Amino acid sequence: MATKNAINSNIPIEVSKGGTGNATLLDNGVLVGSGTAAITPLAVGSTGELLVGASAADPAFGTSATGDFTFTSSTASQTRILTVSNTDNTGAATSAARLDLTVGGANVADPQTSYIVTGQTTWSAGIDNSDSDKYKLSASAALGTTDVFVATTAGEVTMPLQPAFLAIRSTQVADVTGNGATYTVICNSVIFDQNSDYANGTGIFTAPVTGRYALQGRAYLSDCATAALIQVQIVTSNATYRTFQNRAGSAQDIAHEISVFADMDASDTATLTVRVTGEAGNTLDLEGTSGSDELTTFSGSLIC
Amino acid sequence: MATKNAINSNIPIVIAEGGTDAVTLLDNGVLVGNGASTITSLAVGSTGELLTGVTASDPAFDTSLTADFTFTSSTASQTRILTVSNTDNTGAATSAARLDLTVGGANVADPQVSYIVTGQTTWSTGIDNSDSDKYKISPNAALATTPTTISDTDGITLKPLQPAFLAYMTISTGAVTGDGTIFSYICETQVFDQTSDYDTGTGQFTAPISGRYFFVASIRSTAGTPTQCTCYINTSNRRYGNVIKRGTKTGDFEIQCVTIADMDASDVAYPQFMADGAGGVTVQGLGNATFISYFAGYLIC
Repeated sequence: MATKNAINSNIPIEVSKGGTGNATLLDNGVLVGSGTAAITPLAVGSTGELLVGASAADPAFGTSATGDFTFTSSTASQTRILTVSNTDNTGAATSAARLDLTVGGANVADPQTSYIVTGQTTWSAGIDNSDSDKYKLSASAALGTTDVFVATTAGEVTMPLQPAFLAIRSTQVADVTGNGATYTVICNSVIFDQNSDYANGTGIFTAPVTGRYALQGRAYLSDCATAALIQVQIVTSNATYRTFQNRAGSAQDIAHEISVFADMDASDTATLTVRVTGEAGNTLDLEGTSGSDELTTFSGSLIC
Repeated sequence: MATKNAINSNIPIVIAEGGTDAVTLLDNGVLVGNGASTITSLAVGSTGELLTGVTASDPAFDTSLTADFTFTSSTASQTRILTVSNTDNTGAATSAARLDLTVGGANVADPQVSYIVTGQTTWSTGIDNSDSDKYKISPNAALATTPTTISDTDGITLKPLQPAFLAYMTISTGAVTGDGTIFSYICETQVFDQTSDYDTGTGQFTAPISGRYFFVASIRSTAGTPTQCTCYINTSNRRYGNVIKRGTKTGDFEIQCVTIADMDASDVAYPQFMADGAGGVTVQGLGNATFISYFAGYLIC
């Protein structure tokens, strides 16, 4: 008794009659329709290849696709992971796992990765192709906007938004100390203030984040008669740092500087103060810029 | 009128005659040829699985590939995007989106991301598996080649190509000031200079890029009887000084100047000192094998 139906026509049943139109079907070949023509077996894909669609054409197995692809989920408590893994550990120096992001050359946009919290924030990292191929970490979707970390191809690293300021006293302030008065130096002219943390109206630097800050100050006072001791202080919310110079009472100008490494909490403040004794009154003048010399300055930066 | 051909034999038509040689085809199963044998229905893939090839064998739906894969384009004005997305925002702490790059262990190469501008530059970030698993950012295809930033697993970060130098003066200047002359002293012995920006011949540091630089200079004056001494850091944009005026007291001065300076690319910075009140050019800058007179600096940000 026959177990298979052979019509014995030696002509395959055509598609329009419900057949495949083929007398054999490629072993391991995915079958694809072809209208009323014979079903098409696709070429067998190699291990690791994906079946890739092609507009108005048969799909094909391949190792590349000319479209975007998204691994997505909207399910709670699910981590969506794209893994590039090579579990070999035999010692082969070329056993690696890489994600390569490549653009065609200098005339186009940037190769970058973006980290996106929908509705909140995007961070991006990659090569700014329009800025000398610098590697940037930016708090935005576009490299070049809100750059936090910038490295040149020569290896120099700048952080354009790191708190850092330099302010100078451009003009003289009369009668600030001399008989023991403590004067808060107001450096009225800002040379730079990367994060807008220094107020040139009050002389106060406000730490935007908790960290370790390097702070420097210098003060120069004139109109001395018997000035003997100068104290220069950096006063922070956590501590007051002081240096002083003591001399025999003299009519010479008196100056001093201070450099400290300070712990500051977010919103803590730092100011530069100066105090001189030895005079009969608070008659000493705080000097400003003299020619190209900066005599009174206050500066600082977040180190770490 | 019948719309389907029912042969009514209950025996499937063989492949050679154009049939499938199957009495049923798996619901939702992709069909695969099997030569002259019965057509194969692949196991139905789960949601999100991809159909992956297997050399000389049937393909299968899977969540992983054992080969490289490239999303590519050569079309102008088209951004090629590979996205890993989890749009859940219910508050579940484990709803995340990740890209994991994994290698098999300590004996092989590096897990890394490379950013490539064809024909121009490659930057790479990742773990240097041959250097204590440090995280590096390098302007190369290889993490170990000229990294700009190196973080170890204790969290300590170095920037080995950041402009930074320290030099000191071992040879005294001879009598160069004392009458108010400002003298540029040269720290000719270099301790380190990470990017070769300090010139021991001229004593000048040249900024390789625009930025905010920290500088410290120190000088010890000796000989003569000056009444005041100033240590300067002179930059292309401005000069910073620290002065001691002590009247008629005698003895050496030792004075330091510290500042943060704005520097443009190619600007220079160098140390100077000035003594006054000595009645003539009698005052020297003291050089020594110890760090009495020195100049140092680095790029902060």
